[in-house]
Amino acid sequence: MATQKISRTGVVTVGLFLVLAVFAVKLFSIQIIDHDKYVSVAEQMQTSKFTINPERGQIYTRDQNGELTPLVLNQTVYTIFADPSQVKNPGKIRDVIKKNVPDKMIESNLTDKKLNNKENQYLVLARQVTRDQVKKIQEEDLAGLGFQPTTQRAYPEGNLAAQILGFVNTDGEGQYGVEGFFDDELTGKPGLLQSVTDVRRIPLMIGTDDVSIPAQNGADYILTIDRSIQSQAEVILKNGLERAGTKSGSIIVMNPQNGKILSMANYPTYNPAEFSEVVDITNFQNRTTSYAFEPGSVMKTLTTGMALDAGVITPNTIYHNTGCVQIDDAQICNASRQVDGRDMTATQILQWSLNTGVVWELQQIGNGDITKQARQTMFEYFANRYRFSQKTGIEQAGEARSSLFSPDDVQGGRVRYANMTFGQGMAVTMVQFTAAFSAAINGGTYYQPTLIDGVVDHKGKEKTLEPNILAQNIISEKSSRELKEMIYQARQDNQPGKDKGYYIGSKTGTAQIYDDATGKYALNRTTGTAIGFTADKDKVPQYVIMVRVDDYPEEGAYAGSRAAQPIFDELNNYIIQYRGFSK
Amino acid sequence: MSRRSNDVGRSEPFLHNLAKVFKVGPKLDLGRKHRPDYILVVLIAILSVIGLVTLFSIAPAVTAGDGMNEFMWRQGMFLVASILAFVIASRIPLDFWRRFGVMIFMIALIMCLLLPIMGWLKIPPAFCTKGACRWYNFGSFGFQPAEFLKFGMILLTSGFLAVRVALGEINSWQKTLLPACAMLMISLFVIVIMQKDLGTGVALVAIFLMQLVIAGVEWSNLLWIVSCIVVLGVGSILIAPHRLARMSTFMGQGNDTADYHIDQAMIALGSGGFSGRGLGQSVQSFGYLPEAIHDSIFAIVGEIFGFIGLVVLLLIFAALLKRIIDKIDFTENVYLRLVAAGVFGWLAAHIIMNIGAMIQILPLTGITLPLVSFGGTSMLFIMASLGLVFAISHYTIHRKVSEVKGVSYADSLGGRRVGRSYYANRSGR
Repeated sequence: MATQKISRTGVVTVGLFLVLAVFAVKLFSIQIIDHDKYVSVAEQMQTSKFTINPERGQIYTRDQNGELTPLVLNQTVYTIFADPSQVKNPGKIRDVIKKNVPDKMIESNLTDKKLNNKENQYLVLARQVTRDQVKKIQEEDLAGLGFQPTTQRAYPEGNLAAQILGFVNTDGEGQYGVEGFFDDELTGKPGLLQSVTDVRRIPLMIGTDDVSIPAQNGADYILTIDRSIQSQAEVILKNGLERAGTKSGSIIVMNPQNGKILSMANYPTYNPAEFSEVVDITNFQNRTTSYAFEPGSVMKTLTTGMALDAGVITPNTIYHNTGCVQIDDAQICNASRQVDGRDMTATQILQWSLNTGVVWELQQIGNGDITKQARQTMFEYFANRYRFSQKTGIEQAGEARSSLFSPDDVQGGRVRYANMTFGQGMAVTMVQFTAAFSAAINGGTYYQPTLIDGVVDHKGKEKTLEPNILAQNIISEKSSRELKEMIYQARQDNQPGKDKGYYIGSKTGTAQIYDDATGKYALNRTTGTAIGFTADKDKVPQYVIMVRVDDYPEEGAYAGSRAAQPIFDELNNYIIQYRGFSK
Repeated sequence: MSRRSNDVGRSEPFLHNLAKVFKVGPKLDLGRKHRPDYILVVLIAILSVIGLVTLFSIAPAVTAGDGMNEFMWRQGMFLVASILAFVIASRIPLDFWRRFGVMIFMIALIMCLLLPIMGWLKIPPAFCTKGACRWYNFGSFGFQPAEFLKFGMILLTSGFLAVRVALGEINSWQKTLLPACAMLMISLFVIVIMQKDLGTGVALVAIFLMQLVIAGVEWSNLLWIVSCIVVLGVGSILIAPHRLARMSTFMGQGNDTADYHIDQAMIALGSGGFSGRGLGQSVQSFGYLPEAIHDSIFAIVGEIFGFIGLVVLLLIFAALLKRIIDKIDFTENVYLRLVAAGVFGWLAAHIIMNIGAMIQILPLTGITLPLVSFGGTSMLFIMASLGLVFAISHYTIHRKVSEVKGVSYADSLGGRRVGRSYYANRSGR
């Protein structure tokens, strides 16, 4: 006892140092050997990625003074929900909701039973509640109520230009119209925030691999639409169709001097704020761009333009009207037989809308016959000059393709081409036809039809889009002037004195509708069309209006003159007044 | 077992001797006072600075940006209080501790016993969570009497065992070992069963065993005592669910909370790598690692200063502990040797249990890393106990006691002054 043989402190010291040595070895293993493993585990756990949602671009148009008027805005609305596990006074909640948002509440969820179900933590009481309404409800200070903000599209002009605008579906995707066509641009680019965060996911200033990409908000678009003309066109179209007893139709108004669309009206229409309630999805479609149809006799204007430009006729070239013409196995006759056997000028062919007359014009190109060469010339004009072989590129989702047979096609024979001279046996969209017609009467310049006047990018920089000329001299300037004059003259001769000195030219058409079921043209269903321009005192066309009336039920060739023409005239009169034209 | 008692030639009754030791006994024969061990102070200072630097590096994380001033002020108060505890403990004459050791222990024990009673009666300062009452709450400061009890335990057993050594009855089961074990059991009952604080219990056992080792209890007797404690320890783990969970975590199959704690500590250490992420770069302190400024500070030091930093930290701990061992080796007085041994056991237990848990070698018990874990009652009493060691360092001799011819443990109580010539006069030892 007195003297230790083995030092006890020595034993303890050795033991202690051994333990600390083991610790050091283990630390080496954790911090050196497994360092990379723990670094990646740490990164995964400590680093968070946050997506910053961009704001969707808004859609505007200009008013008469050039000021921006919103057509589509973003709006924050709230979903009011209850957390029944926190609800104290279900009766008060029900009263407050019923008082403040009777039109937006979900009444079936406002029962005592559901509000008292302590198992549940989320019960939707009302949707689409505005900020002001939420404020009022919040003032009641009710336990267990929550408010969830969401962004949705708002339409200050209601139904106006619904098909042009399109809508944003519940997944946030743009559908139809401008929303569909410019979905990516309107959406913008989401931002990314990658950062080391604390345990509650609050970003820290620590770490070198932080990523911070701000969200790029979507671009705002300014449409070429004239709010007044659009609004009036929609009313006139609806009334006109009702008078004619048809269910659907469209109007397009375009400035032939720059391709800007002033209006695209469709009926039936819908309310984009309530897109989910639409049953028939054709209501969503802008049928001035998404629907290709046989335009009928309005095509005679462009056939005449071709004949003038090809140099085979002048406005006063005489055609002897035979009433009917035999092409191979098909007999083509005129709708109006009052002027059979008379000599007619080329202008009168338009005035009387003589099918045989325009067939004759085509035959003149082939030196009296619809030769392959004549057909090739016509195809060149229709496909490449009037650009019926391609989409116009109008800024609308789902632009339809036209249907045009080349002379090399089995289907592109003499009868087909004879029919094409008066707008049958081929299909185009209204925007295609209007753009081609505009080019034919404006001196021969084909402007790309466009709905976009300007773009405001995410930096707030506004860019005004210049008119895009796709082709010049599609017909010569002289041919264009002559054609314009012929169309004007034909209208004046048909309705003397009606236009009170204004320089207006127009042409109607009635197209038989090909019935896919029977494989024949139906006799009692026709498409009525009307196209025309109004020029200023210098005879410079200011706008072109085209009207289409679907499924006109009367037999005979009256859809154009009885259904489409009145709509054309009514809208034209409005625009003349609205624009304050001088004669 | 007490066959050597006759060597000393004394046979006063037990009670008489106790009275002699604690009340009326002669003053401790300390020998000549010399320059103390300032290296001890330097090591303590370095550890505190490491703790402070780490603490302020992660202060923005643990205060969540606001309340920084209050946090700093609080830590400053802790620092001042700890330094005061060290200074006061080192200035009080060593004989005071010997005389009043029993009383100090009794005060601590009563504070521990009152805690659950007050907690049960919901009397304010007592603070209970999860069915355990461990704290007195005084405003923003808490007081944990268990730490005080460890301090008192060192004084109590040192005094008792010193008498038994003096009487040559250190290996007597009847007179020494069973009574000593009974003192331990009372403390353990209060700490482990009532306060459900296994970590403090382990520290108490370590203090006790270290003192028995230094007192010269035969290895075979020690083995018996250790065996009994292990059996009791396993029993206490089996009856307390949260301890079982911590054990199963350690065994690799279990409870989410403790699993999470250790996983986060390992991520902090591992991502620190060789040289650490650097000051102000700790991420784990931002809510990932629980108890970042207290029990888990080791992992944060590892995250900030890396493997290098932790090896340095381990070396400083080793140096500090070796310094305390030296006090045992170079102090003649048995009472003082046992006090130093108790302090050594305390610190070693905390260091090993704390670090061992962080590196997944030992189960998580939730005790502090001495001097580095900042604040709290633990720091206060650890500093006080180191103050005692510092006081003892005034009276070391030149050669190891075991090498000093003729020195027996009994001599420290006796009047003979064998080996006077070996008292140090300059050395820090």
